[in-house]
Amino acid sequence: MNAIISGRSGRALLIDGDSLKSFEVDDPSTLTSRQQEDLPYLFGEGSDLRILEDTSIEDVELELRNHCNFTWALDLTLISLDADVPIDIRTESIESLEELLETEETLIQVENVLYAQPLPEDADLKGALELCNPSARNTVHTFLLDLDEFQPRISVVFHAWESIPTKLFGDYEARDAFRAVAINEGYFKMLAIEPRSSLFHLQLMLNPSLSELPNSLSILRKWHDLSDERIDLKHFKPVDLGMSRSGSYGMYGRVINPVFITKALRKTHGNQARAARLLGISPSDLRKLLSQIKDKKPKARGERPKLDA
Amino acid sequence: MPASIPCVSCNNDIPQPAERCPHCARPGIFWNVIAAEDGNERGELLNRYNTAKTDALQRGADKVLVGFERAVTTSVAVIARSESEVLRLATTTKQLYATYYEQLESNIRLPDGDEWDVVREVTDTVLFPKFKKEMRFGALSIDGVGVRNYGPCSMALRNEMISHRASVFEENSVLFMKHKKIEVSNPVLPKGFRAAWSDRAMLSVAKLATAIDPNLLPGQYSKRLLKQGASSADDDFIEVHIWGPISVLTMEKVTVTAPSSGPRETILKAVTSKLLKHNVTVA
Repeated sequence: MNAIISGRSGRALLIDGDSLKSFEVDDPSTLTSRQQEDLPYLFGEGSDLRILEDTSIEDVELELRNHCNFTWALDLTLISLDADVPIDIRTESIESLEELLETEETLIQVENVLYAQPLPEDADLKGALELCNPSARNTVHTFLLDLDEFQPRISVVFHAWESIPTKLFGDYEARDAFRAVAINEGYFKMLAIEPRSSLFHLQLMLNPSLSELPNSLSILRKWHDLSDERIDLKHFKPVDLGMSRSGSYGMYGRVINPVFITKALRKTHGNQARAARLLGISPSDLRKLLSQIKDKKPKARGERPKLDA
Repeated sequence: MPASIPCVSCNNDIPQPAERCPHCARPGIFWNVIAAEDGNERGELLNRYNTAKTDALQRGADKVLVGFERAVTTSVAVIARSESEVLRLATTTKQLYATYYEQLESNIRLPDGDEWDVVREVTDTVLFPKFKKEMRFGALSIDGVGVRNYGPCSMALRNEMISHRASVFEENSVLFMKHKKIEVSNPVLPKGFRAAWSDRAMLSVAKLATAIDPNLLPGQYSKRLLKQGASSADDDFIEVHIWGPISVLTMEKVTVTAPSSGPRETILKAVTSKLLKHNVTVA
């Protein structure tokens, strides 16, 4: 039997020969017969579909429950970070999230997504932390504190990923496919939280879905090197550069990748004022960054771990 | 449906499925509407409509049919989805949500193998579309409630946001192809079963006039237009095809048709607060 599941719709479709049946996450024991004509409506735009091959109904039920828990946990996290949502609903989101994140699998899945990209500027992480009840069970509090702490590294790893030439993947579609696997398998998170030892783990975790993609080893090596080559983050913290945006935890999104600085200067033919504008920083901040880059001693290549080491 | 049309601005050919003229970049080409507005298509629809009206007159149901037709002119396109899906649609313009939701776009394709054949043809063309990715599917509704079997949140869309890019179809299009024995791979459709948005009442009359009896009350029009089945196999509705994206600003009203509990209840509260801020009514 095969199956298609969607956490967002809370629904699974079982495909067994010519037979189509579906069930809802809240009522897995009720199987509803389906026809082909139902398919366009069952999953809507189908943006979060997962395919299960050669599976059993018990496994589908479990996978659907896990996928739903992850979807709801991500929704609730984003709601808790959303300053536009009333305080009472944000607080309720954090309470609901507490229960969901007690399941380690759900916590890992949510972190895999949130560690793949820096928090945008409209995320109110400070406000969400204040809404957590520190006297209660504190899974969410710890989760948000970690998210805050790792923002600089998340930004570095994200920009390193963005710097990998698309030609290494083959094309944009292959790049997107690789990225989806890398998020799902936690590669972004791993590089963010374990920058020094992650290469070894990357190798260990090189799973079939990733290794089947062309150039996977070269891409991982390049990504790791680019993440590792970043100048020490303490030089880039916006606070150090006077770029703090009071009350906004999204400020770490301002960490600038040196590759982008080089590109901006090249694009503007060395005009620092225009390059600064391109980078979204002031000319004086750009000058500070350039002097820090200049002062930074380059590492010897032998110091870096290698994939095949 | 024509393979290409002449541009109203530069008169050069615009091939399907271009949304704008490739020569002068004039935008706003919606192929589903172009197909529905085809002269032969509308002519056949008009024939069906006139036949239905004549039949109603002979049965003494003509006055009720006029009332029904008038009610359908105020009908709306409704899409039924889960709370999480409505949250996604309600937050597409907010960077916080868009940043992370984008990472979940799976863009999957069905694996090779005969076991998937039963869904492959339909899913390849509809569920996992290529150029058909622009189409959204909904149902025509008088009371703002969509097909409950597909989700607890019925999103009724604003007329002015879709009237230029929406068309209506006799019934579920996959079911129609089955009924008419049309292959999805070669969909040559008989004429007169689809209409532009402005002609939705005409299509509804053509389809449903025989089910309108002289004793039908105005309060029953809604259930006649969209029949909620015990299961999806028993649902009957006029399908709405909408070209392009939908956001919170496309929505006019969201009707919650089933109670939520647990995390879904909290998500629904957040959805409601988002909708109200954008002047979307929640019922």
